[in-house]
Amino acid sequence: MSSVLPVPYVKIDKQGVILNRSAKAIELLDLQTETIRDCFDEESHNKLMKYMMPFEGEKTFEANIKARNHPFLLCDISVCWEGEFAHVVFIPIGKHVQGLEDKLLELRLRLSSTDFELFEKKEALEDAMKRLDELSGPFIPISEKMAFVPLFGDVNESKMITVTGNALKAAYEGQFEEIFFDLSATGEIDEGGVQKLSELFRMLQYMNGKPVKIIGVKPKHARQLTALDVDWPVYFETSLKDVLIEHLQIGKAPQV
Amino acid sequence: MAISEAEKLARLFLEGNHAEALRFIKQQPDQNRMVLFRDLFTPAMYMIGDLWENNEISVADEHLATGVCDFVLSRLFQVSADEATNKKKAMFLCLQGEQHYLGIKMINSLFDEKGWETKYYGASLPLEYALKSALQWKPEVIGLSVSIVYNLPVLKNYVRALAALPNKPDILVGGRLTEKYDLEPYVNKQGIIIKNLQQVEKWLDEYTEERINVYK
Repeated sequence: MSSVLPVPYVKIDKQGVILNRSAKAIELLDLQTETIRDCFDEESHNKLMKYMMPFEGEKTFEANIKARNHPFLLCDISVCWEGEFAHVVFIPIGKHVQGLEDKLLELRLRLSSTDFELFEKKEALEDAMKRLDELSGPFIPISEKMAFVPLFGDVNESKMITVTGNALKAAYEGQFEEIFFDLSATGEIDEGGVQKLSELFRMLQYMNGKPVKIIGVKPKHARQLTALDVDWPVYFETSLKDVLIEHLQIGKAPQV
Repeated sequence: MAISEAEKLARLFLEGNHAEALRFIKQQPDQNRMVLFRDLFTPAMYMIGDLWENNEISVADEHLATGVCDFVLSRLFQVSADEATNKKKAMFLCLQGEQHYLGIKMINSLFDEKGWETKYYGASLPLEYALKSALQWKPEVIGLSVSIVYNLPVLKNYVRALAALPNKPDILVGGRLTEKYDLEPYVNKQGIIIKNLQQVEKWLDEYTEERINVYK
């Protein structure tokens, strides 16, 4: 019955002599194998001895076997002892690892052709870009209750990720009632930017309990902001000037 | 239990953490390549081999660790690009089929540090290519590496063919097998067997001394 098992299988005794083997095992193993030791690559013998002992229980391990068409073939070996005998199954895992090996080879080639000076320049450039992103959305506390975030330059996803991190941290640390985002100095806003911008506004709203306010929206921004059908959790105000006048007047004594 | 520095490095390799591994090496007090290779890189990679022996990691983990180690070596020890004309030349390669290249990569780097102009061919270079490029480039030294017994039979051909080149290069033979077996029958007095990093350094120093004496 065991000879029709769909995997390479052998049955051995405690001396390691092979008593029985499946058709798949005959296909896989070297022809001259009489004992289990013969099946394994010399350098895997230690591992074999270690995991055959103490002749009981079940074990699974990786080892190289001598295959008929390959001097060493990586397999998952499962051993299960049943009294005087053990059942051993070999599952070649070469194919799974093959893909990995190819990837590694590719990386190695890439590595040998990499100019590391250039690579380091690129890394430095990436750091500079990130710094630029940080500076493109500074979080400015105007008073204890009011904060102001001008967005400079084009707004894209990577810039918004950086700005979001800083803004949330600052908003968490301060107790701002009103946060204004100013788009006066903003260039283009791409789709990723719109997405991240709306996420940031929503998060700030949850943190503050109050929607943020946007000022300085130009017509082209209005088109870009509505392009994605986002439900904007914000109030729109016209300009920083108007906002400040309004707030300053609130603080002033009423004019007689 | 305190873990050794080499073990820390082995863990970083296995985690695939190349950034941390880079930092770890840069923080070592002694930045001499020889010391780093001998005390950290080599023992770390041997440990990874032992972990496989003990069934604690799979071959896939080993491959990842190799890749990370390779990256760290390439990144930290860039082979210098300047090609002065009076430099001594050495080329390094693994025998055909041999994929264990980290050792010879380190040797290549040591030669570079000592002011040699080097060519590193990495894993599995067929003899015909090795011959062709050695014939053109005329290196004084050719280093071969072999780590798997199965690849051993071709060693004889490599040594014989390369030693017979017109400019009579010195052939160095290294790799894991040199410590385990006596490879002399394969090398047949036409090459020098190098068992570890220290022997390379010693050989290099002696070679340089001889040169100085010759020109005196």
